[in-house]
Amino acid sequence: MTSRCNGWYLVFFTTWSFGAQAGMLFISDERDNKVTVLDSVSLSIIKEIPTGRRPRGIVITPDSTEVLVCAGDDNRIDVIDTRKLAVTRSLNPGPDPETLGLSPSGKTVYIANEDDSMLSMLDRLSGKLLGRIAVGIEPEGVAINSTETLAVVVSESSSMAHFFDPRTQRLTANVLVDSRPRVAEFAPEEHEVWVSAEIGGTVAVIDSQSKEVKRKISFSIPGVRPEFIQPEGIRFLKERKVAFVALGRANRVAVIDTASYEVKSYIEVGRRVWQLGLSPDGTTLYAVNGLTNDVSVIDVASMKLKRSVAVGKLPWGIAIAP
Amino acid sequence: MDSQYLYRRSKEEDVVAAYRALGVASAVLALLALSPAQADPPPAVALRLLYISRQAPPPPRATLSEPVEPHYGLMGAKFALQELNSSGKFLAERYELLTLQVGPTADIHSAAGKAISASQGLVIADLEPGDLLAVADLKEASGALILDARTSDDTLRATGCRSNVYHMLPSWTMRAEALGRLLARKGWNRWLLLSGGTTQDQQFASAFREVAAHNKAVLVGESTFIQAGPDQSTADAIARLTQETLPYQLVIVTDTAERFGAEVLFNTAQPALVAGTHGLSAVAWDPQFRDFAARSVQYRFGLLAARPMTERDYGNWLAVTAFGEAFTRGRVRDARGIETYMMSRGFQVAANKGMGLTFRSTDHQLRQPLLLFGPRSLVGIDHAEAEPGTHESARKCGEKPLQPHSTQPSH
Repeated sequence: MTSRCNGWYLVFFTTWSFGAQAGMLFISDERDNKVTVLDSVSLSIIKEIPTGRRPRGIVITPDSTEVLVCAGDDNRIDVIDTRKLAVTRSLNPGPDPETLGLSPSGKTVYIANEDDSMLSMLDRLSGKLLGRIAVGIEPEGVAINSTETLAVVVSESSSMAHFFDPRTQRLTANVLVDSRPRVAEFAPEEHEVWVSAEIGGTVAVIDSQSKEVKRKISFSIPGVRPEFIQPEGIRFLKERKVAFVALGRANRVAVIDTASYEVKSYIEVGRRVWQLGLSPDGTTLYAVNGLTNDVSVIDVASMKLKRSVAVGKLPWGIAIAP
Repeated sequence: MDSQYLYRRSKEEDVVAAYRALGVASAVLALLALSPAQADPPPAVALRLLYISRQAPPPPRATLSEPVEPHYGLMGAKFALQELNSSGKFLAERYELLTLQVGPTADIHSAAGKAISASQGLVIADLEPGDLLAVADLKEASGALILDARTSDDTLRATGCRSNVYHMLPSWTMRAEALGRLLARKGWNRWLLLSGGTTQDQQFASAFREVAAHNKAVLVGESTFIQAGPDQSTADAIARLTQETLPYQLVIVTDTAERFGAEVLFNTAQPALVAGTHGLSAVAWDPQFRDFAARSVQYRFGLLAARPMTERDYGNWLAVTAFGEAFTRGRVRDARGIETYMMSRGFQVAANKGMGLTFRSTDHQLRQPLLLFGPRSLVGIDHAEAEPGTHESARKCGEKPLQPHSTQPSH
């Protein structure tokens, strides 16, 4: 055990101090009650950090000093110090936090309280509750624009995207989308919000101004039953006008041209791919696969799967430290 | 203590207290809603649904851990209504549920006829097969759309199929076939059939006979349990009825009336597994199911009802949810408009099964995955009848007589 610990320290010390390209991947393992930390270059496990029960939603602060992870069954958010690689404090977000968003400044945490049909806003540093907004049933993915003037949370059971103004904490629009929305993400120019609908099998492209669904993106994969196409995580690659959408039990990530909304290709990954992470330099896409307990590592230049890395049980989300 | 429901999640230990608090909060909200100071009037009612059931004594309990609940079914419908209105408030939509519960021996015809005439013709039938047919055949119901939230009766999906009735829960045949597929994969193919005496028990038994023949399983024998003899316990009666000389691996039990099924396991003459209505069952819902966000549904239902959500609750929840889905997306509110939309490509109802569910046009059955549940665990999920195009004939509702089942055991 001692030598194993020393090994970790050695890897950690080496990558942290001298590995210019090496970052860290933090993966929440829902059924293992831990966050697995991988070295982004060697893809070896640096550390497994115990958390509260049922860790799912996970984000990293803009300055990369803290990773916040929802521990839904313990009704708290565990805060991981990225230098100590340990949970150093917890926030009280109200009942059953499933997932969360962070304001671009890193100051405010937006929490979807799944069983409570509420969106809670907390001050990250003090943990002080800033406000709560009643939203639809089973709130899920949260997205906040860069000026923190517009935010959106989806409600899975109500099949809606709820837009609100974080300054007034009031809902400004409720947009019906296809069945079981999971993730919302602002497009790079913030003129659109993309919302994935798991059971509907589509991605709704919502105009940020008019709040109207301007486009619905559908998917069709030869040999894959339509009901297995379950859009989940969304990531944008601004430079190449590309969006990636995880397709759940279709076991693929769709590559979409954000100008034409056409699906250009599908990348085969592990089983029930859930959330996605993009390296800060945009060269590598990470797909978190819930049922194969691994992370698929995709080379963005070639859009090809490079390798898969085993993590904990039922991995859910990913946060990346540069 | 008998009816106390033990939750597995830490926070759920406070469910009953939370339910009470919710009740107080609801009362306060109701008062606020009545207050003249309230600025925004409630939106007009989008859909007014009619729930019809018959009062009956609670079903017998096999164990003290099962709740006594005279409102099985109705709570599921109320739960769905609550959810529709929670979502509907963001879209200025409001839903209402009218309830008709006829007395245990009352004539259902006139009460149901009047209630349907006074309604929008959107009916959730939480009824046994006989009552369901009586309601479906009423003159007043000819233009209605009835969602059968309760039955598994095979004849209602064949010779007894009615054009104005759609079925939410799986039929006996669907259940037997789903179990049969699992048993065939396992190679557990020597069955003893032990059925109850009701029509539904016998239908389920017939379905198993057909599955056995199709899957090349061997029915080593079969018996019907009517009642234990004088000075004989149910366990003794089961032991006698399972004294088959040929070896069997599995006892197939069909006891929909809860007369003996719970006692079959460990009381058989030979060491054997149990499947059917008891032991390993193919169901639409189980209080233990937690995949596909079912866990959240169980939690919210627990807040409302302070008890577990049964399959009958689920059937009613699904029926109300399907009506709401049709209105929200199809923007139709009359019975024929909703039926047309429900049968269109645009319709699917999210049912916490990992996929949207649709209706078969042939027998008006909701296609769905079946959960294969053991007493305390999910053994598997059968998807064979969830997809369009599978297990479907060209026969239209009510066209072709059901082929009589063989009553001869095969050896």
